[in-house]
Amino acid sequence: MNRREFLQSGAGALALTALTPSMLGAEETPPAPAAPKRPIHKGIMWATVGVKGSVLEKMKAIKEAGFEGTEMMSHMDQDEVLRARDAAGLTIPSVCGRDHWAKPLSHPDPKVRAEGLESLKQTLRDAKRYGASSVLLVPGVVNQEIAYNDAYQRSQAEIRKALPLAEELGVKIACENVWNNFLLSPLEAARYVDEFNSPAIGWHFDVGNVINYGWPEQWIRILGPRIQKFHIKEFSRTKRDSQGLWKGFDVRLMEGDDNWPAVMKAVDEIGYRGWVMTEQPGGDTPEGLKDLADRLTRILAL
Amino acid sequence: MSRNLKKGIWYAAAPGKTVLEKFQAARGAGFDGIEPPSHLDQEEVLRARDKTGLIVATVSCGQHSRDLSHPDAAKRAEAVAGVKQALRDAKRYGATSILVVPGGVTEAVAYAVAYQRAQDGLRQAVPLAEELGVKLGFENVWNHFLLSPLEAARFVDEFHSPAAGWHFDVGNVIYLGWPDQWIRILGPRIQKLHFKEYSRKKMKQAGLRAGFAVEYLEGDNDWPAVMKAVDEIGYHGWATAEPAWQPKGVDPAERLKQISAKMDQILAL
Repeated sequence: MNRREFLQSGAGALALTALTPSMLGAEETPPAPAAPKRPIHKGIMWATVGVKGSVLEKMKAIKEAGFEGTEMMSHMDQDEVLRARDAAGLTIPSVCGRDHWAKPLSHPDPKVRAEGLESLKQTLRDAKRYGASSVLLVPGVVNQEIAYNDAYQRSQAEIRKALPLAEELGVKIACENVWNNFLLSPLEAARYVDEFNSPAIGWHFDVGNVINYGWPEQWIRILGPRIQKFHIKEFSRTKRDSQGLWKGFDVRLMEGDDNWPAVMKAVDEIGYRGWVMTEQPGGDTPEGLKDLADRLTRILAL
Repeated sequence: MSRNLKKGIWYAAAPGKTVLEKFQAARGAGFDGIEPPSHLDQEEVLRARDKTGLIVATVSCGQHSRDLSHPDAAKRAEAVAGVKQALRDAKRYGATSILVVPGGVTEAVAYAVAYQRAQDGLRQAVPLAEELGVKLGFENVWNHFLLSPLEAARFVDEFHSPAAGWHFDVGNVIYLGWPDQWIRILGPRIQKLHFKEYSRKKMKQAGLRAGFAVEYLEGDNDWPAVMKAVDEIGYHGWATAEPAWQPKGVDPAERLKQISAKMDQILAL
């Protein structure tokens, strides 16, 4: 019985209830940090797994490190992925699109947008095949050539074209907040999603990406049930301010300026159940993967 | 030069102990106008204005208005009172708008809460602004709030008042965006412009705030694109220099002249 099946069973629910701190007497030993406090599953973004080897070998390393699932990239050999997934005993809860940076849905050239849209559709099909409930989409990119308002309109128009397929497949399109200079306000992000009037679109919330200009716990409460998946990432304002903007990401989980207790409190408040996936450097050795999984476990035990 | 833009300076950048000394320094450096803070002695400002011939086209109540979204209701009420005083100051000086910081987001004041509180407070100042014929110019500053130009435009429009507008700071958005895009999106909502430089290169090498430590025309502000956007929206009025950086070892009066010359270069682009 893997942890997911365990949690889905009545025994799992009882075990969780029994472990809530409020039920523990003061003289009793507190639960070990690794004890699951919430029905939340641990995953890792495939693109951050740097160990050498085949898909199967990587999957086994992910499992060995203590993760329960991985967020695959789109456009891989589906059969190979499925064989590896089953052999390793992992779950694939999410698929990340391959082309949304290079062929953004906000691009001025309609041909590029059409290619980006086709790539999104393939990502949805990959997700369906793997049993993933959502895909990660960078909805658009604002830059010197692509104005904010154009990105907003173009990306919504393209995503609308993919919604019928998403609805048909039962796979949600989850827009991620990334450093694309777009959807910079959590209120705007929520509005962007709601304007589709579709149950097939939601959010893929990256905790670390907003810390440069905001607070993730605020985003979590505002986005609420729109959130389909989480990326767990660290950011250090101190390093940003002393070494340069991107150096803010060069910090290990729980050693930066993410207020993890506040983040987990917000996660609980919105009633989130599902997957959180690390997107961190360090996953290029088995020891590095294990360290990531251990740190994620500690965060989930907060 | 086809465009009709006037050159102003932020009051705090001008050296001098008294209001008159600051006005004289600004005039001496070649500026046509100055943006004083609110809550000064009105008579003293008017005397300095008339003596130097400077125009006061905008009044800043930045420090007072920052508390518009404060958790303490008493602080929020003080902020509203501060905005109203700035409106009266502006009326007295003949200024057409005031600079308002529409509160801000902090770890303790969530984005949605800040939005609601800032609008609630500012709505209390709108009737006076309409009565006096002085506009509220909300400024984009580093307050973690109204980070999207589309949201900023919406924030203004939700007042449904001709008195609500924007005070656009060119340099403050460069860490997250492009000022020419903001200018086109905000368009006629823009009442005043602040001119400031920013370097993405320094931001990446040394940190977020280090991006401000750069001379005009030597950072990543695409000034030709900014001026093109200013022309496109048909903006006529004031461009006020708000330098965020002072080079070391330069006499403040001399520095003011340098800034004035840089402004001339930018306005001629």
